Amino acid sequence: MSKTPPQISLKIDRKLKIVTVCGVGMGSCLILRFTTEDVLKELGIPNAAKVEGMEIVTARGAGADIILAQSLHTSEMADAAPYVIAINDFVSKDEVREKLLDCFKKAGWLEEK
Amino acid sequence: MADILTEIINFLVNNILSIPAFLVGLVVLIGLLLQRKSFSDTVSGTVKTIAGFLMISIGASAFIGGLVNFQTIVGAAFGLPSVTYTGIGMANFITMFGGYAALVMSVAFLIHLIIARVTPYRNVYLTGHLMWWMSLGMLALIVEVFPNWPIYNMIAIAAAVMAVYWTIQPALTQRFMKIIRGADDIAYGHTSSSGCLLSGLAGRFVGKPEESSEKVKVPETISFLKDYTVGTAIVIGIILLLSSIAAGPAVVQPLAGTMNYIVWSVYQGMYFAAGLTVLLVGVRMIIAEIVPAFRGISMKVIPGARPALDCPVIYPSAPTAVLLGFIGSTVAFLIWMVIFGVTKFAVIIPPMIVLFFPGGACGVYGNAVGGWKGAILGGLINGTLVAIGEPIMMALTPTTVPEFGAFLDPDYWIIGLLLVPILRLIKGA
Repeated sequence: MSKTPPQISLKIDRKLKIVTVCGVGMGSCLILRFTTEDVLKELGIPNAAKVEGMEIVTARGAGADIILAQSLHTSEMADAAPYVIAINDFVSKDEVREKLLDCFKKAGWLEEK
Repeated sequence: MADILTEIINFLVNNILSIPAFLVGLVVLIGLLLQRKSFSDTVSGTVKTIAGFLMISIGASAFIGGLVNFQTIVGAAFGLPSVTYTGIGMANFITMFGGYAALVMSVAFLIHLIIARVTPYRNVYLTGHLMWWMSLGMLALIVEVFPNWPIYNMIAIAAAVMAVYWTIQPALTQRFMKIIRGADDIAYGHTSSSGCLLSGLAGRFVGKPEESSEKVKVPETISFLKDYTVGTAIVIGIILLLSSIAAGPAVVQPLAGTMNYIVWSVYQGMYFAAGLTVLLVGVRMIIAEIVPAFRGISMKVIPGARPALDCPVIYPSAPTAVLLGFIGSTVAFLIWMVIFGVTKFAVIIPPMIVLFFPGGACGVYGNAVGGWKGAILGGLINGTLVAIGEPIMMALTPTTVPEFGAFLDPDYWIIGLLLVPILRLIKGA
């Protein structure tokens, strides 16, 4: 069972752009997009970010704030966004939540309610 | 009054519904409205879908252009007569039937949900791009046998076959998914399932799960091939380069025009990869709008259903097995390519996406039951199924889309081999 997620807000005056990445940009990046959108909703910030799924080539030039990708691809993505995060399990809300919160904290955006 | 109404209906049918790009846009528009999306999301989603559809046609033309050149040059290298693709062709077929494929997908998904709701197979298939390709492929198989059927007949048959397939396939692979994930939470929804099943069944004859692939080290140097644009350009480019040298300037120079024929053959590899990338970005733009609606509906209709997902979801269980599967798959395919060429049987083109992604998945299935040897065997199985599938697909849909052989997964031709005889029986009766 996952614990109840904290309710947070972000100290940033624009919508973040989160890009989820998989090899061909078809199936699994879309699944990771769903997981990420669910996580943002549960954190109480459903509109804080626009989440889009892409493949490596497009994602590199997408101007994302945060890239979430399978560890298989993070080495190619390293300089494509300020924050590039490896996600092992695309359906695990716990993993995505933990890593996103960590990233928000590092970026100084996190404001816990 | 009635006249004006007929006029309006005629206008809509002729100018909106019979234009596939608009038809797909309309399906997505309905989906977005049903999800109560905001005005801006609705407008941008609909426009992106239409643009995506047009990109598919543009990408398909480039892709097929590259494919024909590949066939000619590699064929000439093996001393085979040049192949001409007869039939409607992929780009034209998409222009003619692509809109209906979106309808097949939607109808099939609803039937699939009903089956999943009332039977114990509570898996919901969510791999959108394969739903799209398979729906289009089913239409090609049906048009092949019944070219003059009314379109609603074709949509109904294609949707019924797809709905049954989307229900049965994830159920068949589930016993292996439990071993791979160590949990029963997600199912496998991918048209490489035949290869995966064979890998899962055969793996234990060559090795043990304890000899896991994850204890083996694989050199990182091939890892750039994971990017399908790069992988396709390089592998196709190298094969074209070697074939051009073998075939000689007499064959290749006329195709190359003013460019040097060797340089041109490498350039063709890039061109082919670029066409493929445009094609797939187009598909992505459609899928990204349709699948969320499907998912939303399924969560309402069957709460707690197990989602059947695209193959990379199992990669984290055994990343090295993915690479071993890819290598095995490519090696097997290239061996078959040479055998087919030398025996003057056929020219087949390596579909890098089908060799990498399903090959990797077969590697993970093989590894789960047979360790690293199982992973390699899984790759060899996938490469073989893909190689023998190309001429089979060409034979199944010669007058519609023979080119499908160059990028559809094995399940497609296996369904085709089952479906076409049944359709022919119906036709004969």
